[in-house]
Amino acid sequence: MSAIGVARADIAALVEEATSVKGFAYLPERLVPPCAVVMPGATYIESGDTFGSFTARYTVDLVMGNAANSVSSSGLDDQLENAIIALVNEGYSIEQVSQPYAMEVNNAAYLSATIQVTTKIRP
Amino acid sequence: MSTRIKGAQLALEFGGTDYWADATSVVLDNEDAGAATTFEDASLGGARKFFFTISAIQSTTASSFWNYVWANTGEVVTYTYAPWGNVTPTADQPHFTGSVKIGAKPAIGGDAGVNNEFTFTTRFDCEEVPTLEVA
Repeated sequence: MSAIGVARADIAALVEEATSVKGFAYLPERLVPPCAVVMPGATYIESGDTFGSFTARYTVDLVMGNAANSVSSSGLDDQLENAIIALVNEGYSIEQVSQPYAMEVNNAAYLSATIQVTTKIRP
Repeated sequence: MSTRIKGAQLALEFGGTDYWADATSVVLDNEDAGAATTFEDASLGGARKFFFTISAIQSTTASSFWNYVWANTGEVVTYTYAPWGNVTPTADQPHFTGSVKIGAKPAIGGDAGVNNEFTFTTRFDCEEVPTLEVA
């Protein structure tokens, strides 16, 4: 697998382990919250700071399950914290986390937030 | 049109080990040697001293460049510097070789920040004018 793909799968596995929700390294055909989806970020690949290296950027969409607002809100904070700690401890950089928003999935709204993650790769 | 050298590749061997992957900046430059200039020196443009200015990531991994500098400060070792990153030198893509004295023990640390990555800068003085290898 490519270095870019390995990093993407690794991020999905780390977030899955830290948050106990299903982590996808791709956009699944049918999204069933709660889940975490790792997608290419923008800019996806850019020049790195050492010779021959690149910086890859990913987004992790953390989507909460169907629950009361109070439960979803505190649950999202907990899950974000778990995911960020797991990613930082494995050497990934967190650029930012978006303001939580309602993601429309299967005609229902789910509380979500997007983490922007970067890592150094050497293809 | 001449082919430009880009910062995407490099070979930088000290004592037979390539540390290119840890480097963020490498410059082989020269300056006034500072010593008394002989007539021969003057006829060649003045006595010059060559040196490397190298910036690299901080890493205490056993195989890292930082660790190599820390462990070998003051030692004189051979070097091969290939700005093109090529294995075999050619007339168009030469290697620079010679011997160099490893610089002072490197800095460790930097500014706080979850995403901050620490780097250090060191200077290696060359023992002689570098040899341009073309084959």
